[in-house]
Amino acid sequence: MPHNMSPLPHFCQWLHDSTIGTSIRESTYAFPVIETVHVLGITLLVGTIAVVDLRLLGILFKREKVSSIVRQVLPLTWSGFVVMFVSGVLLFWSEAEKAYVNPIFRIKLLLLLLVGLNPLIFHSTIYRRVAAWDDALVAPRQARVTAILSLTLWTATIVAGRAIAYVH
Amino acid sequence: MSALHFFRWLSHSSFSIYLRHSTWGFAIIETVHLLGLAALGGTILIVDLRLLGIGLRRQPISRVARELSPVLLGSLGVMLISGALLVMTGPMKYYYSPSFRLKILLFLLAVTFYFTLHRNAVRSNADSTGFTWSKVAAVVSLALWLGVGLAGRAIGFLGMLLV
Repeated sequence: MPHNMSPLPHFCQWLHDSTIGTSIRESTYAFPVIETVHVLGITLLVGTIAVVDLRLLGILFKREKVSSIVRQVLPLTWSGFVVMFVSGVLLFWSEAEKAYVNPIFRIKLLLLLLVGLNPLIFHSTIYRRVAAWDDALVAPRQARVTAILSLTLWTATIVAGRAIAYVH
Repeated sequence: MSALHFFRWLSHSSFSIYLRHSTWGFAIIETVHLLGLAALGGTILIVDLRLLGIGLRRQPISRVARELSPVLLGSLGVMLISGALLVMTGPMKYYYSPSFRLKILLFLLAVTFYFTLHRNAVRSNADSTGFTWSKVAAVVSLALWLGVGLAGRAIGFLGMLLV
């Protein structure tokens, strides 16, 4: 990107050329090993999120309190988030220059932004009043919309993540 | 008919030839296989972590497993169908891949273990804090399924190294 000197592509190029980026890229095993961790980490992050979504929709654990499921599952979700974030950053680091110009990578970042905003809105609005609907077999409308958005956006994120490698 | 004959026959079928020549066939089937992994792996992980005393501890082990069992069986179906379709995209490649053979072996072990000894551990609802056979069952199950995943990843990776 010689003609584009705006800071973002410049930063991506610098990451790409850094010692860590280069050693991951040039090692035979580093990239596939980190990538495998990133793929298997999906089960911990998205698997636990899906349990909460399916509870809100009244499909799983409908006789359990919503807050009880959320509280028990949340530490696992955060562990999954750490695994995914660290492995994801390392993968990006090793091919930052390529990722920057990959349209699918941009779509994935946008999806991650949306999939992160969704629970923030949920937890700061309707979930604050969870005591009123904790025992409901099916959660109120706004919570169900959150759950469907979450399942849809996570599916799209996984699809986009896989597609990064298919688009050059 | 030997396995070699069977894979050869598969690779000569018009469906396999169609998949091999389609641009997006492999990518689409592999993406479905990955989504199935998220659901199947997520379910197994949550049940095994529960056996180890992590996660959904307020619910009895047998209830956690029973609630998740439709997701487990559904995603197992998705994995089997998408997996079979992946093989159809290049039967001979899979026939000669040592990683694929290992994956099938580990998969058969994992499924057999899951629906026999693992199921007994789940049903026994043993919820003590110390060492129990339920915990051994959880660790064995996690190790076997992890092995299936790693061998699966190795099919693509080792294939790339050899070519």
